[in-house]
Amino acid sequence: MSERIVITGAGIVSAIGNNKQQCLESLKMGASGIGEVRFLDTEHHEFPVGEVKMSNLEMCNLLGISNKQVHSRTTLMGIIAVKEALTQARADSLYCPLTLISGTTVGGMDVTERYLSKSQDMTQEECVSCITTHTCGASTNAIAAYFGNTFNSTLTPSTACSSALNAITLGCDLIKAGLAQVVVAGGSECLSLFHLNGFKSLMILDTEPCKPFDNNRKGLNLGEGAAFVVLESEQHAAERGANVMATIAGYGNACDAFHQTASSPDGEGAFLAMSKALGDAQLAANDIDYINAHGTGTPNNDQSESAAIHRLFGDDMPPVSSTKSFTGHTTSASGAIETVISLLVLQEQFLPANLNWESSIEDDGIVPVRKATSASLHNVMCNSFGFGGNDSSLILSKYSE
Amino acid sequence: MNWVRIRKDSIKINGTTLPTNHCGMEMLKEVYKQLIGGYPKFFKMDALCRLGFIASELLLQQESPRITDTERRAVILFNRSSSLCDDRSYQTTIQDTEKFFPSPAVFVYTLPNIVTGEISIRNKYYGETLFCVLDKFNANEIFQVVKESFLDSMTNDVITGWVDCESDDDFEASMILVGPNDPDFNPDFINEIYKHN
Repeated sequence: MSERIVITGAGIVSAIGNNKQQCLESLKMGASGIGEVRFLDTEHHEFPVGEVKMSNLEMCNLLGISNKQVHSRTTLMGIIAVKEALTQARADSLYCPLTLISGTTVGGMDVTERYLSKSQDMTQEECVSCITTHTCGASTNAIAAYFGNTFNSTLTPSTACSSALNAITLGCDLIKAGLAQVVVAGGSECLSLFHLNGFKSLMILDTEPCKPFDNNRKGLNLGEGAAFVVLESEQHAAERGANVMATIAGYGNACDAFHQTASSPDGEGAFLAMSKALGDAQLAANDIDYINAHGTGTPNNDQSESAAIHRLFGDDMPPVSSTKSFTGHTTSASGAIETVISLLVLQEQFLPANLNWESSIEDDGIVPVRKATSASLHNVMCNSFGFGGNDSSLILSKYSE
Repeated sequence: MNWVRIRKDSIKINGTTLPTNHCGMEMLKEVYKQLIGGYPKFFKMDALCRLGFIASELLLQQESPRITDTERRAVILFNRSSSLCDDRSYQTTIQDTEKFFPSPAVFVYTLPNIVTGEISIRNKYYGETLFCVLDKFNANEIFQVVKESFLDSMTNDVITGWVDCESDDDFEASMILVGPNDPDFNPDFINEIYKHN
């Protein structure tokens, strides 16, 4: 059996808080961060969103960087979350170079949008600076650059909404393959006009706060944020005396092979991903004490995910909730945001609520956790599914030596 | 180890040039009509997906018998332009407030990993799929990510390669079907196909 991978630090910024402590308090209080759009310059105020409650200027001030340069919101949020994770893990001054893996799809598109309409009035230098921040990889490199020589390599997987969870599992694989010692993995994604309009065109946005797993769910609310975890082998953590937050027990990835964007009705991909994660963790279905579902609130996802969970867990279903009812669907960052939320609930031993739920989906519905509740948790599962049929599932376990 | 190399004006399969009469998108359509066919969804795809689809079809035509319906084959692709080609088309649908119509049919392709999904849908591959966006072609990085993917004992083989599409008529792909113990699979081999074919 290969060596265990552990988490020694975590950072998060989302609609419900700018760090772990704030997010934890919101989760315990049942306080959603979804509301009317404030920072994204859109006319579509009819769609509630889960925005991070800071302007770009406020984030620059928080980080002590000049706002005269062009910064993507994806990068700014990413730096905040990476910084929190590194500080907790005391990993910013390690002898070994670190690897940064950030899942994103929007990347620096917010900057491009901001400047696109004025590109004719811009100097060549201004145009170049907005173009160089555009790509997904550029946003990861800009996060790494903030930390000087801390990182010596970066990776930017893009698998739509499962990007950040895949970044974490890729980080685990890198360590197991002996290609990295310490990896900071997660994802960052800001709101953009591009994907707000796109999701609107797919008719999967709700004009009300989203209702995951409710029979009358109408769609999702988009959100934004960033979250990262510090990964290393158990031995490496022990040797440097790092505190272990939790163990990565196992993970699985599978393709739904059904449609570019929709999930299959029977949730084949989700079922396979969860099954593989259990197999990798050498756990049985009834060892799972809580599932943080992908639960977007769209009719298609929640029906498909319910079917897959029923098929895998049968009548012995663990408590389930979708915390997207707090954060909105943070798309490519969601896998990392929900991994950190799962980590917090594992540490604090409670089940977070699935807000706005009233009635069960007909046939094979799920009755989710409705109110934050204390519970004894050992193993929690976090699901993250993406367009392209790319489905992933991760299991975190309470650490014991 | 089978491989395919597509440039905007030429196609090679295992080192042998496939004769074609056109360039760019017309070449891909020509290959579809002459050698593939029977999958009209091809015409709904954006350029990146068409490129990845054609490359994978030519690659898999070398496999006998062709494997379908499996969890044990992963699709792991890379490029530098992400889905920028389709992103541009979609942007034109939201650029002008007078003619504002974000098209769902165009929006669905504004993700690079839709091409890994399309290849999986075509062949009923339920295994791992991953799309990585790199600064530039990097054989070492491709090699390492593919090598890591074999840590999953579920994975028997991997369709991997570089699938980059700047526009309908400016693209390139190199694609390889690789097993965990292929002795020839190394960064030099990936480089050789990409740079010298």
